[in-house]
Amino acid sequence: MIVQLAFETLAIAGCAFAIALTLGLPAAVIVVRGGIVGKIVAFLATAVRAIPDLVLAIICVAALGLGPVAGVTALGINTGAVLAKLFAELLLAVRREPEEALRAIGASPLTSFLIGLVPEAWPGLVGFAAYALESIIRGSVIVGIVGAGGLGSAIVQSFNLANYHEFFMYIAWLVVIVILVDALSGWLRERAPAFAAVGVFCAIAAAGVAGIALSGNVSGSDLARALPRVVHFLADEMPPDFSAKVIATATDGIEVTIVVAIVGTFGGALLAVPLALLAAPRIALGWMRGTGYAPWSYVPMIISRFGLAIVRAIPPLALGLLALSIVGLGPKAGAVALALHTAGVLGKLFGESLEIAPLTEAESLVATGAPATAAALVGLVPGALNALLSHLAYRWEWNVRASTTLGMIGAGGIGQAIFNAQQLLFYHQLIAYVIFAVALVVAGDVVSQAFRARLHLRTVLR
Amino acid sequence: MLEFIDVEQRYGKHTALDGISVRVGRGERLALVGPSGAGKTTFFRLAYGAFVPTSGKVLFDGTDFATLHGHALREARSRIAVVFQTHGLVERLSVRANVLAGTFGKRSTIDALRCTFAPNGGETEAARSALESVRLAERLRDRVFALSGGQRQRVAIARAVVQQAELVLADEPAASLDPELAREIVDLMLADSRARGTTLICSLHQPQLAESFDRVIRLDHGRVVSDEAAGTSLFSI
Repeated sequence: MIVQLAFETLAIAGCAFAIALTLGLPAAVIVVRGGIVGKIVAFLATAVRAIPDLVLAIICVAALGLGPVAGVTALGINTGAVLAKLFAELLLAVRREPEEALRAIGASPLTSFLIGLVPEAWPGLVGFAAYALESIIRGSVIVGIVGAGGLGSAIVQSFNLANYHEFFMYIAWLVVIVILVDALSGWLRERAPAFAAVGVFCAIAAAGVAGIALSGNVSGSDLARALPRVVHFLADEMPPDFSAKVIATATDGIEVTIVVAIVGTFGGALLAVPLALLAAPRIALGWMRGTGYAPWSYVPMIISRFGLAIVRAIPPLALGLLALSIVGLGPKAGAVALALHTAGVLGKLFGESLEIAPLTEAESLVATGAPATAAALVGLVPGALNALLSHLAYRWEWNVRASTTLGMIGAGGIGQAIFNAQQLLFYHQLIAYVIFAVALVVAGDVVSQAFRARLHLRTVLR
Repeated sequence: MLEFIDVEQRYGKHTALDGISVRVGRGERLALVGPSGAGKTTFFRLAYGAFVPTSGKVLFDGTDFATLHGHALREARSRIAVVFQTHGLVERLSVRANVLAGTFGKRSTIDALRCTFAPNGGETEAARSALESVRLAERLRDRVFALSGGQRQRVAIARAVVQQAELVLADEPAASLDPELAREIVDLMLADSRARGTTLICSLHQPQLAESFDRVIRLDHGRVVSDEAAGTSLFSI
């Protein structure tokens, strides 16, 4: 039973990965080539990325009906748009000389691209593809909510039946799979030879498509027709319903969603700082004589590192369900789940920033007899501050999306409005709410980018 | 004041200090010269007890650093000031906070943080008078990253002054400065040492700067190759 569920999850992930690569790679190449088509594709990719994943899944369900096709399509499109952006940025950032040189001696554009440009970008391409695989596995819970099958659906069903024993067991299995896939992706990124990476990626994608197609009620043509049907659905449900009632619900919802995102981000950061200070080996164990908390401080260090890793490995939506079961329906649960997940991610990133920040200041303070904790706080933390704030801004962007998503499982806000509209089959309203949600996400991104631009400026000025 | 007894320091296969014995008396002004990689920085890090040497002993005021722990270690270090080539200043904080950091050795963590972010009138006055001795009082409230390299070194010296340190360790304080400024910084440190009767150990790249010291030790490949009163020999680097 469990094994079958795990394989289903992997099949969903593999299939979504196949869709993401088929959409993302060509889109990136088109964006890089530029021109009017490139601009249109770039705009589409940006627009799709702004739609929170579960919102996209709901749209796919509305268009395609409940089931694996909707889930896989949503996950594939979402990740494909992310990959399109990452791949395009990467291809634009690498050295162009080898490609130019090949063109100059008369090689065909495709040859120059494949021989001249791709090898330059290779480590990044593999890294981003591996990253996509990781996030797809985490996303399998999201599509579980729309009945795609696998562990994600099992988690949601056992939660709905209040069968918490199974609920926790499924989450534990998912965490194990997430950790294994992270390990695989880490190996692919850092150590695997180039062809092994291609082989593994192709095998995962092929196995996923085969797994979904062989699972019975889905045919290959269903998968192939999914995307056109989603587009067709969207065209049919125009124009959106912007009546006064919808707008009132949307503004109330946006307010709740923003509050949840703020509490989640800053609550998470407040939790993350002490955890990072415990988890960073340099601070916990010391960087010179007379520093480090205590001879036994590796114990809290290992515990906090382990705790951070576990919290990170639990997909945020599963954390959300957990929080709902403890705190009850409503925004509070969303804020708790977001804060925990944020603490896991920021704790790790803060810890890493502290590990690479310059030590000179802290060392000079300790050398003059300062208490180690004061030396770390005054001498080391300011050096890591820019990185810390920049991570915080990224988390804020991410949390605005996640806060919308959590709303759809009962944490209130604009997400709840989207979910209700879908349940009642009010598709004109649904699209209006989605537009509001996308506007909110874009606004969140703009705020964060302005903040980071300021940070960058300050770094340059000094 | 400070004594190295047959000190050897190895990092893996690399030997940074290869059996050094040096005795520095109270009030002595010692210049340490030698090419990069000669072991100067390791010498300084051992002099404030950053770690215990592979073998041999480092005595501070007669006590082996290796036997000091916790509060006693902090107590000993509070009598030592350091000036680094890279200043060892916290760039995001004000000049005043950086100068007052010299008093951390006598403060608890909470008090140190309070003094950094909310110094009282007396502390501000102490910082100002220390900065006056290096002619930088007008920059009291500026952030350190707005200062030039020479000004930063003067802040580091003011920190040693406010600390009332008995031993000042300066690792290449003049290395990132132009010759004129380098001379000025070294003179400031010598003047402070004479005024307060402190011991000064200063490593230098440019041998001509070592002339005004009492004694010059030349290190190479982790060994002492010469140890003489200043001005008694012509050495070259």
